[in-house]
Amino acid sequence: MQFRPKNPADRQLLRSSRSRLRRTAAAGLLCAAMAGSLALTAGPASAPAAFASDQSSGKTLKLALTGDIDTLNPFKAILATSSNILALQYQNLVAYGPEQNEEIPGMAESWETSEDGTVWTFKIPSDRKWSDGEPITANDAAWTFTAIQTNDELKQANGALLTSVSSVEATDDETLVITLTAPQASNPGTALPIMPEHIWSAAGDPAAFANDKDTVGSGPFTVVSYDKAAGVTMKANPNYWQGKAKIDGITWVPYKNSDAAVQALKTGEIDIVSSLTPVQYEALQNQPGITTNAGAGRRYQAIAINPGTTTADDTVMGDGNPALQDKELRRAIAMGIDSNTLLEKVLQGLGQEATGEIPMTYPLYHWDTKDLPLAYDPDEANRVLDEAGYTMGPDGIRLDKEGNPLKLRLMGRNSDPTHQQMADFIGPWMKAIGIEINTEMKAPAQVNDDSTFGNFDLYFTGWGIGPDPDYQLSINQCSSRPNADGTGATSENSLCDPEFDKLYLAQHAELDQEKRSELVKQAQEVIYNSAVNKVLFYANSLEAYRSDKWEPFTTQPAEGGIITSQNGPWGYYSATPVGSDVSEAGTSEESGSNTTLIVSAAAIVVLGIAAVLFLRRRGGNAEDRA
Amino acid sequence: MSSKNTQTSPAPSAPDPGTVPARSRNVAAARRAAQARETWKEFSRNKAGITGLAILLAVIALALLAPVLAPASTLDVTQLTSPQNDPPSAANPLGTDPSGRSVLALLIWGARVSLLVGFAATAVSMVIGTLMGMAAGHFTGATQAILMRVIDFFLVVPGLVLAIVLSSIIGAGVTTIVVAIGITSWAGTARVVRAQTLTVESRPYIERSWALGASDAHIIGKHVLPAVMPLVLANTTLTVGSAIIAESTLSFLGLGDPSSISWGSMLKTALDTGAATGGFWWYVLPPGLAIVVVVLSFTLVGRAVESVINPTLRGR
Repeated sequence: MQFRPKNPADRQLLRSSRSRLRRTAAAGLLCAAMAGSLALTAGPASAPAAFASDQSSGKTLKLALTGDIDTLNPFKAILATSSNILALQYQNLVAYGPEQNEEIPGMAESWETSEDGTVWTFKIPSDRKWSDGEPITANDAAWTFTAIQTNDELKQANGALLTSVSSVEATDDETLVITLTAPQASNPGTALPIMPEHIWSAAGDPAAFANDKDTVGSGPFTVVSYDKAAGVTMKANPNYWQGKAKIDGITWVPYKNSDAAVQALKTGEIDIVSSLTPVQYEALQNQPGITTNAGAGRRYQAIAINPGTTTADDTVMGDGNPALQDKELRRAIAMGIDSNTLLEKVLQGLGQEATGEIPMTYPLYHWDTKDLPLAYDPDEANRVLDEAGYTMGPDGIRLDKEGNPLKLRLMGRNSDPTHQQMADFIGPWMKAIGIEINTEMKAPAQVNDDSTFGNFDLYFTGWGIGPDPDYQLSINQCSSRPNADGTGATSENSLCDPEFDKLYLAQHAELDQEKRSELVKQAQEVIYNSAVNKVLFYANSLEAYRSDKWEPFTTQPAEGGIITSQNGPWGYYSATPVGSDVSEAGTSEESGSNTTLIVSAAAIVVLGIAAVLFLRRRGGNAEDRA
Repeated sequence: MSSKNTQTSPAPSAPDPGTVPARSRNVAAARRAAQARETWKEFSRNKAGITGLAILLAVIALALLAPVLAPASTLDVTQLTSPQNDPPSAANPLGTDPSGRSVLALLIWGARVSLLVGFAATAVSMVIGTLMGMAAGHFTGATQAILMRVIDFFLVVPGLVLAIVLSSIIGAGVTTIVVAIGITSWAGTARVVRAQTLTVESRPYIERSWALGASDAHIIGKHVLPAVMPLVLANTTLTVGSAIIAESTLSFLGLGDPSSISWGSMLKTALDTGAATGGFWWYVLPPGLAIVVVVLSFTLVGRAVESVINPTLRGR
């Protein structure tokens, strides 16, 4: 099955920007989980207070599990949390390094490309072993590639990345040859994690294999057990080729919401939390024993402007305002939005000013310019609109070419508080250039559907970007637009520009890095100038860890990078307990500030009273029955 | 029997066919006015009820005066200069929210949505509940059986869950919340009204109406409705309270209108942005306490009205 709905919720949450963003089912899960977690937030949702009798003595890294795990089967796992866990367990042939996401040896020691870029040969050293002691051979890699190519059920996670692979062959135990249908610049060895053939071929149907107990992997940690209530336990892999980790294992402890996880970090129940809100981040900054990290994010946040969504065969779909098909109007809207103020006020400055779609964390492909043609300039926006013939109506709202007032809908997800906060700014800004905005906050699954089918005027979107920009650019081609029923290819925002397609294909096949970088930047500029996607900023990834128990973690990239959600296992692999003898009984500080406790208690009391009144009322009704 | 009776009953000397209905109307009006005065006297003896009423009137006045007390421009985030998440100060007596808006201004504007939804949802609930209750009490046989099953269905359906489902089907917004609360909270009222309808309809004057050939509409409209109204009124005041809680809950779950401010949506924003971790009590306590105070007031008033209507409840 190859249906690939656009999936903004996944975009927000998924570790990799590439293929793992695809399924509406995931969004459904997310949605249910969010409703569930919100419903439970009223109570003190933290896990049982285990910190008093903390037995791990710093040898186990404890992480908060706040997202959902769809499955630990790497062929099917697409949610961010599952992908993060599996990235610790399996290696790709080629990994992205911690320094600056450079390509480094993963499972393969070295690789070479044929002159024309179509044949890739990987060397796998003979002394590598799986965590159970079996040797790692090229046959494992060949089996994994072939399994995905021949079984549609295994395509869910990474199948799309293999479309240009024509054959995969293990010529001997140490050599793997991948032949492509066309030259390509991006390394096919980075595409997917390699599975141990001796486990998976014995497991019966690989698609039905849960892979959640005493698993075998090649990465620094392997999953020992997984339980929805108890979380995930991982142990260090003694056979990891870079050496066994300095800790015994990792435990992922489930938490209902991020505030509960933050409290747990404060009390020392867990060691790292990620995805903090700016408020949480700032509150943790002055806590003794805790170090915060605002890593350069891998994702861009944007407002998509519907240019008239069309299918792959140019049929119009969706109910986007037809006025937006005018590029001048879209450009004026882009100029009317002050993204730097949004960064300052909504993210409290915890992010970077944006240019194109590739964030600064990838300097090779980031479009680095100070001279943005669509920077915030409401006067210029008004001038453009006047010139384009959008006359001002009597109530301060401009009229479109048909004489109807320019009223646009702005859609966001109700699970992300920043969407509404940003919408509060955008309304008045658009009013200033004569456009009325109606805000609609919807459930994530609904936003996915509406954006796929073009049922929007403006909406908040964002994609996590992988180290190689090929995938992100590929979804802006004309051919990437979906079928009328939403299946088929995924389009970022219905762009169809022959100039862009030419640039995409040129960079896809360009084997010279410098030339390719230049082409990628030009491609971003084309997207930018078409004003279908107003990139607002690159939000930092906000994290905090117990620095009284752990040495600083490896970040990716090394300079101002992130610890969690890396392209690779480096952050967790680097975990080093402080000192040799870590005794922590009684060392965790006052459990949280008093105000926090008071606030939580007050909230609980308030809701409790409310519940009592509500229940009493219902009871009253029952009694009143004659 | 008593001498009073003979003194006060005026013997109509010249019965004029044209004036009789008019006079009976006057009599009825006078009787109702007297009853209202009596009810008010009884109600005003209930200290808790009066307190609740006073608070409610104050809150309603605040909500109505919101544009005067806190002009809409104070909520326009693009024009604000106050720092974000600022603790209470002279400029912002209740501090500011994560966008730098005054929490006091939000609280006053939030009262509008909370009260509006509370009243509107209750109106929906009362209309459905009263009509269904009277119909279920008045009619017999298959009609009654069907109506009762419908009522029973809505009685056992978990209201919050149904409201959440409805909200996600119709789409988030104030109207949705009103409808969702309205159609999930009427069943209790319907049962109460039905019980009262059965009592009223067994009285001799209804039998007399029947004998005189009154229609269903006449019986229900002229006799049953006025008789159940006091009960409905008491029920209404109580339902407003739970409707406000339901509104807050739904907004807290993210099903409200995102661009309008209500107490529930304030709590949601506080939770989402990590106010508990940040220790921003000024953003959590005011909306929470406002909900408690208003709901408590409605409950006090409702109980007081109930005890006036139903003397057996007095002294409990």
